[in-house]
Amino acid sequence: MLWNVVRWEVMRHLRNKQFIIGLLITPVLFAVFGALPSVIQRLDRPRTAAYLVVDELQAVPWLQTALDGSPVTVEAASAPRPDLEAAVLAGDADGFFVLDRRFVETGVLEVFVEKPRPVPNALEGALNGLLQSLRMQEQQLDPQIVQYVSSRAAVISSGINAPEDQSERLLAGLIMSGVLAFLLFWLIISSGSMLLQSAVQEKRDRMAEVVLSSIGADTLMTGKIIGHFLLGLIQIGFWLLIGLSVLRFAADIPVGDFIAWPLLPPLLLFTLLGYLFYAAVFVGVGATLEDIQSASNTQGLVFMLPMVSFLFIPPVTSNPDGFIAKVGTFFPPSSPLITMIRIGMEAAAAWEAAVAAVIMLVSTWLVVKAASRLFRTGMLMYGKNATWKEMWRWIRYPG
Amino acid sequence: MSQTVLDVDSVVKRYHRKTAVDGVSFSVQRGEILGFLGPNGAGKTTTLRMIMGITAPDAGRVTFRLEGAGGSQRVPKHRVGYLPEERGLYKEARILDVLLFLACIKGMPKDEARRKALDWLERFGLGAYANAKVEELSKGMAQKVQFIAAVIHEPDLVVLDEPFSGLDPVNQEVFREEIRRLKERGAAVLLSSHQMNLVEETCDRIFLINNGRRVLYGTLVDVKAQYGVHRVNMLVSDPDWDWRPPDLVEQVNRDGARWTCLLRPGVTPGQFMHSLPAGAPVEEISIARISLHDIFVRMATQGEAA
Repeated sequence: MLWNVVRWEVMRHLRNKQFIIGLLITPVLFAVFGALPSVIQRLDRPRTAAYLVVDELQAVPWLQTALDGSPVTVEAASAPRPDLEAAVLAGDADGFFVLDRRFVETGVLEVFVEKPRPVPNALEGALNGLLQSLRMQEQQLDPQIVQYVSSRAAVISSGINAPEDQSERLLAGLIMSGVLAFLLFWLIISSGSMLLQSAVQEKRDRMAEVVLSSIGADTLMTGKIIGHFLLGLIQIGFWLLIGLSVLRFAADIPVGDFIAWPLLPPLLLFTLLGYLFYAAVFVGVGATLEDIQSASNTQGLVFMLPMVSFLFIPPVTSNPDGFIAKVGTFFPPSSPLITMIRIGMEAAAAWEAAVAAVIMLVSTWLVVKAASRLFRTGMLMYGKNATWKEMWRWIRYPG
Repeated sequence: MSQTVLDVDSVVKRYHRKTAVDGVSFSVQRGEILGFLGPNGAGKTTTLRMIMGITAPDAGRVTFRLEGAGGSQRVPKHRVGYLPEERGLYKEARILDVLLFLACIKGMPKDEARRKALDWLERFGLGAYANAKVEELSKGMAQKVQFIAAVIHEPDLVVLDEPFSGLDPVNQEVFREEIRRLKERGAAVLLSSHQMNLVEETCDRIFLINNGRRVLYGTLVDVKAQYGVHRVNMLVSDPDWDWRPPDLVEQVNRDGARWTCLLRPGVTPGQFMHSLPAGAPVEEISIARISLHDIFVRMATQGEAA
């Protein structure tokens, strides 16, 4: 009977226009919004800016070499200042400046333009380089020695007993836990939302009692949870297939290298437990609501619960072994996401992951039990939303 | 020989501080239609939900005695059909899909369910709508689909809660005919309805519940004999006729030349006729038992008063 409910939930959504449109449109939207900034930037490519230089340092050739390939050009000019100003005002040049000893000594350069606006980054960078080069010449320093002396330290953390490929493995673990944590969150939000609406629709369509005369409330609830989990996986699987194909074949990124196989089982376990925990909350709450309007209002409140995890993310990523990280690991609403991140960072000890899994199993079982009691009574209540008092009574009532 | 299919024994259901059903007992036989009556809030739906195993009784028990299954307190859901009062259909789904889903969760194989669903839709004149969406159906059509969903798996026990509500007289007759067919097939039917005329024409026995307790239970003939006192309608030629009704009459109403009397329980039409004075100016007289509707109203009102 359970699989009849699962199949029904999956098939009727797969035939639903909104679901199909969402499935197909989402990757298109991702692609469009991902590519849009660069497309817009190309459409608005800055025009070439031309500057005139009163060159007392004979530095224009140096600058021209430095600016090669950039949208900025410089040209030496020997005209008096009023003529240069006239040329800028007439639009023949974007501005002019004077390269003299004062620039070398003070490092200050005034660029004269029609209206004050930031100097192009390319020009500013080239002038910085020129200043350093001129000052090094002045001090008779070899630029290569200066670069060697001024280069930054690269600090690498390396475990004493760690295998040689540790850094690659760590990166793969981090990427995979990040991707799975994102997928879990997406599952919770999309499938959770569908679940809540589905319970309300069952009541709106007055189908609850008809169905409950054939199967138990637990079976109906479990069927809905599994059905929507599968729908979420179908969505994510479809999008992943497209995304990974693009990365592998269009961007030539070796996706397979980023799969940390040993971490896969615990990460998938926490993904599943996290989904079940929140799915039970959403379906239980959905059963206590009267209509879609109430569901929309309540949805915002209920969805604050998975957001709790995000409070833990900054302190956990900066100190994955710290006190906050441990609290986040053992606190059921945040446990799945935080434990997954810590597993990815190889910061969660095996015993911590095991205790977190046990806590999640027990709390998921309790939440499913409470949700099924809410569901059993709530699905047969019409005409009003349940009060907190009623919900508490239903949860305590075993029969 | 009659065979009990459903045995409800002293069931009690309490919600918080209110006792919704208080020690109700009855049984339904194979090939019988039992009318389950009661005013709004009497405990009918709660009792039906306990029978269907949707809610559990706090005391008492519900036993199913189906052929080949012995006596069981677990609802044999694949052998019971239920049409609840709060009923609907998945609006965005196709009619055939809904029927297949509901038949499959009753344990029917999909192919058989498809064949039966199409047969039923044809019988109800809905064959052309099999692949239409539920939201395209009129209310009467949707009720037919709901009825099909309740009986498609050929249950041994059918529980129908207000099957006629919202139907026009033509469709009421169609449903009544189908309910009779269920009975002829040997199914036990528990029928809850407020349409007393339809109950009177359809049911073999009735059970009246009020305030969670049994008020009446028996065959229509017995109930009418026990509680169906006689009503007398008289038209007299003298509007000023000065007649003092005897003790045999419980209640009297006079409207000019038209008299209506309700006889006390146990008083026969003959006794009343003999009590009329010689030379009474009676032009027309009719004496008949009161209808099930009147019995229902009397008992429900008395129950409430009590």
